[in-house]
Amino acid sequence: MSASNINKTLPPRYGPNFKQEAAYEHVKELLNEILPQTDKSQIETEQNWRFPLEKIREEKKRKPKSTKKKLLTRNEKKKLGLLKLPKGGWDYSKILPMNKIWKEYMYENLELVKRAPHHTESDYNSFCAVLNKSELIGAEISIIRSKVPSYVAESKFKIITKDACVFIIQLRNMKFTVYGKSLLTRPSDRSIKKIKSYVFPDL
Amino acid sequence: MVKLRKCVGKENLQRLNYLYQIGNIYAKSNCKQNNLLSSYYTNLMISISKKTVQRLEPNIKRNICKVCKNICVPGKNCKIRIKKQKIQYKCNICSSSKNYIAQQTYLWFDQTQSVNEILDYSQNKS
Repeated sequence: MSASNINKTLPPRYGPNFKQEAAYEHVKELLNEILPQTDKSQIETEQNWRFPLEKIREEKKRKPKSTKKKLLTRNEKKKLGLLKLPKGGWDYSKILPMNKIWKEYMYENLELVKRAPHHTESDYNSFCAVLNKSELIGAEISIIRSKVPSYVAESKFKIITKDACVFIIQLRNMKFTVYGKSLLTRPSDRSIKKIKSYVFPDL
Repeated sequence: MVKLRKCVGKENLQRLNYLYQIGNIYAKSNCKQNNLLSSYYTNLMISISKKTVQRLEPNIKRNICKVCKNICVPGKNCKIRIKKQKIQYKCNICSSSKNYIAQQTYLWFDQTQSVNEILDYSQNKS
């Protein structure tokens, strides 16, 4: 053996079944060659060999953090255009069939039998509660009274204040008048909110 | 005409059903502005179902993208692949994906024992 063997791999006899006794002999052989003659006598006498690298084990592999995408940030939503609906470029011919579906849905939802109940009948209160909880997207709505006179009977795409208006919802041959005050909540909140049976009819 | 027993929260369930139908129309249309509406409707649908404590059907829930809340229409919005007995949905809009186990009776919902009672309202249609 020579000193040039240090950086090479171990011979096959020390391979996988590497024992501590074999390690002693290997180091002894190596030291016999390298050390000067004056120090060779100490090899046998000094029995406390230490192998500091013996105690160090391989570290456990950490799992890489999951790169799964969770929720979108606000800026990403803004880029996709999910926050605010665009003003122009709509295809209105595709929007029209929504009204046809809405009529079917509403007729089934209110459980109408040819006519709506009169306000003196016993069904009237439960009927109003169902009407309040139903969806108004896709409905045909017009304004009959308003604090802003220019809103009345106007056919235009416009954002308005609901507080100061009275609406009419049309369903086949029936009309429902709805005060804007009762529509001031969020659309999702409307389905849990309880309504008063009688509201003072005022703008 | 027979008047059936009312099920609890019928008007809410019908509202959810209507919103899902509209959302499907807009997810399929070719106009880009109209596609944005479908995510708006499904957002409303999820918030209503949370507040009224009525859970969505698992097949409907799986059709909705979890990140951008669009309705997934395979071939248009999303990709569907089968890998190692799992179905992978990949959204084309937000490029997120989700995996489900491809087994017919994996959910409790799919088994026949889970059905307790059926109320049929189709007779009331005019």
